[in-house]
Amino acid sequence: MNKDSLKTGLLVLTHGDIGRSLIEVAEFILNQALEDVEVLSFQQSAMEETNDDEIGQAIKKADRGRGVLILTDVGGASPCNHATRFRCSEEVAVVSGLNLAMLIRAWSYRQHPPRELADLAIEGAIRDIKACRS
Amino acid sequence: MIEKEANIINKLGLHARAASKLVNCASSYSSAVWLKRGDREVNGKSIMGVLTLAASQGTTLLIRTDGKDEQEAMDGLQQLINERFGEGE
Amino acid sequence: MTLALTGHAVARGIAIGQCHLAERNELEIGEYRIEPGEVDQEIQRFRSALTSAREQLEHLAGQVSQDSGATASEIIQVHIQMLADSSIREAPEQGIREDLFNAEWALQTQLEKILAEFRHMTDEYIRSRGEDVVQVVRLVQRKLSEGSEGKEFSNIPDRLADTLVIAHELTPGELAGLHERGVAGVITEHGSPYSHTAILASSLGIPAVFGVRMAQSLIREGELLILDGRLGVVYANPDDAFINHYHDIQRITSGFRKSLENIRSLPSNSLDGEIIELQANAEREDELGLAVDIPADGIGLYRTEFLYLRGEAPNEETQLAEYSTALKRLSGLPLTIRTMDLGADKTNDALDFNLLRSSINPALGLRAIRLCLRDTNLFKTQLRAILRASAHGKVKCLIPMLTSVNEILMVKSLMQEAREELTLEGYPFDQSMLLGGMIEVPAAALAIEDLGQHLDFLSVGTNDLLQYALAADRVDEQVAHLLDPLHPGVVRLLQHIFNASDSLRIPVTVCGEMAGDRRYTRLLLALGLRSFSMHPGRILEVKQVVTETHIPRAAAALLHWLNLGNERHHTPLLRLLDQSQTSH
Repeated sequence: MNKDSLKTGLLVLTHGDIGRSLIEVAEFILNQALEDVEVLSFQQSAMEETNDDEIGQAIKKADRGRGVLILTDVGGASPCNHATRFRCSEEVAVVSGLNLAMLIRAWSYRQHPPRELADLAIEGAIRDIKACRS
Repeated sequence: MIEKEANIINKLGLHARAASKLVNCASSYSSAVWLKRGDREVNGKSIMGVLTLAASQGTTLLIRTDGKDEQEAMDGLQQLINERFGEGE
Repeated sequence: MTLALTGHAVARGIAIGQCHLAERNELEIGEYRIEPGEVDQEIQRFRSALTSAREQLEHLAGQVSQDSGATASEIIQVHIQMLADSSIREAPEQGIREDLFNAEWALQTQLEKILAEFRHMTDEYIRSRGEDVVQVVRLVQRKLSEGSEGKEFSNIPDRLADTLVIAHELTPGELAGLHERGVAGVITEHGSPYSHTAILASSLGIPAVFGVRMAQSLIREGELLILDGRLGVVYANPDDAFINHYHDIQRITSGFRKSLENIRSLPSNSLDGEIIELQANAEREDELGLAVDIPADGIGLYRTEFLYLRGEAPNEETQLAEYSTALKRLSGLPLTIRTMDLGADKTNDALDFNLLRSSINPALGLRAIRLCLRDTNLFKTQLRAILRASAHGKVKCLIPMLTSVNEILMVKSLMQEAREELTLEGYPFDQSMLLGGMIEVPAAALAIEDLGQHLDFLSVGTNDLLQYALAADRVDEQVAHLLDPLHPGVVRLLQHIFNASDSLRIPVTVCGEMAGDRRYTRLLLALGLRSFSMHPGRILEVKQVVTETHIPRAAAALLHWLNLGNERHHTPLLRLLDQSQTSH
């Protein structure tokens, strides 16, 4: 298969249903379904105690042959710290501070490899954070 | 002091640009100009006032002019309104 | 990978280029109390800011009117006047003097008072003028904070050719500034398609899409964009297929426009020498103007509903003024005025149309002529106005949605009453004004022999005719596809109408959308139609087809198609008609 047509997979890892809700809003805004995006939700406390296996499985599922970018709402949670160790086709990158712009950005540029995609996602996320004046 | 009615006949009524021309016209005379719609009366030389009159097509306004050139002012305003503020609509 | 974002289509056109994200200079409005001794100084500062703002706008208005005519500079004029209004120019000074507010604070307070007033307005259009006030005040605030050099944007280069600017929002002045720099297209995250900025974009011809949420966050600086102003879509990082498609459209559009210009001077005759009448459907000033420029052979349909949708029902004088103005604009071209056709999808609270709402199927209910024959005062007022207008130019009267001969007789009787009244009152009118009927009800179409006896001319409203004949609501997207003008039943119906009119020797026109759709021109000609009325912007295209059609050949092909048995279902009529032109 031609390497260039492969896309980075996306895994949205959040507390509660934040991830799913954001995906729904993104689909509404873009007026299309977001393919290549896997979601994994955790109850409040469960994240800390998560089995590495569950995350490993999710990453495998998200993998489209060019590595995976994990987007998560809270950074510093231990599964994320370990995420880069997981096996998958290529590297795994993790970005925290998930917001709507980050999700849409990441999804629109997923022809980029994980590390680059992470930078693009962060850029989009930051641009959308500003004081709203009348 | 003269009082006379005028019918707003142009399609979009006293929308922003028409209001603008009305205010310009009213302001070119030294007389005071008042526009009344129902029980609401505004200064004809104030764009904010005229806009908030919200006079749509078909509305009848009472124009009052008061001062040295009150007749010219009344005539000028009547003409502007009847010619639909130059919009032809 | 192409990212497609949607917003409000604001100004048509296609723009392709690199994007530039406009960064607004954040405005820090400091609000503080001043010392009594500082009052005069503060008032001076305020007045300077006002002057500076006014000068900026006047400069812009001057430049804009040179390039793009009245509308653009009128919009900026409104802002200039707002600046001069006492509520902005004088009232804040009171706040400075009496409350010892600094200029910014006094101005802000006054702004809030003004906006509160606007919020009470029920008219949507007037209420959105509140936006203009906000924009004007913000300009002054910027002058106060940053002096006369204060700029709205921190990063707009001098030349914007082939560039599409993405901004959070834009004032008309800012848009005019971008236009001066040659911007190719404009996208905003926030902004209504009814705003002055939108109107300006349209009148300056800048393709624009407003209300594209998160555009600045989702699109990267310098990325290639395609803006489709008609659809209201922006494509970021489009792949080759998109780019080629839009380049083609741009090329075809400009080529097509050039070829149409050549048609303008030709007579609208078919190849076999028949003279075809091409009229316009128009009621707005710009449409009437366009009809005169093309030129159309006349106005085949002047709708009057707009007069009834403005609050109170229009009195005779108002209507007469409206019709007379239209006639003056037309300088001699005939005007066919259709009496009010309020019904199914155009309702209004002001008139007592509770009747409409309570009927289960408004399209089939009390509307148009049926309504008028119930409310004869309303109707006679309009008839009188139309008659009086006939003294100012060539006028014909058209009755919508005719069903029966009785209706026509009642109309004629009311018309006669109106004539007698006007004569007694001393008003002149055209004694021989023609009276026509719209054929849109299928039963009426099948009974032309009866109705036609009492009318001077006919006009076929194909939009509603198809709706009723195919029993499909054109507003319901689930069934709208059933409205096929090529349905054999529809073709036969039209054939009947034209044949019957021909036998009775009364002129017939088609004024529905079909008349302005060049795909069906040949079909209508083949069916026997010799008079069309359409949106003026379509006349040249339709004329082009007329001048390339040999009608007898097309008619023969049509007859052949109608006589086909089972094969008809598989034989595309339009292709048959086109082929008939080249082979003989």
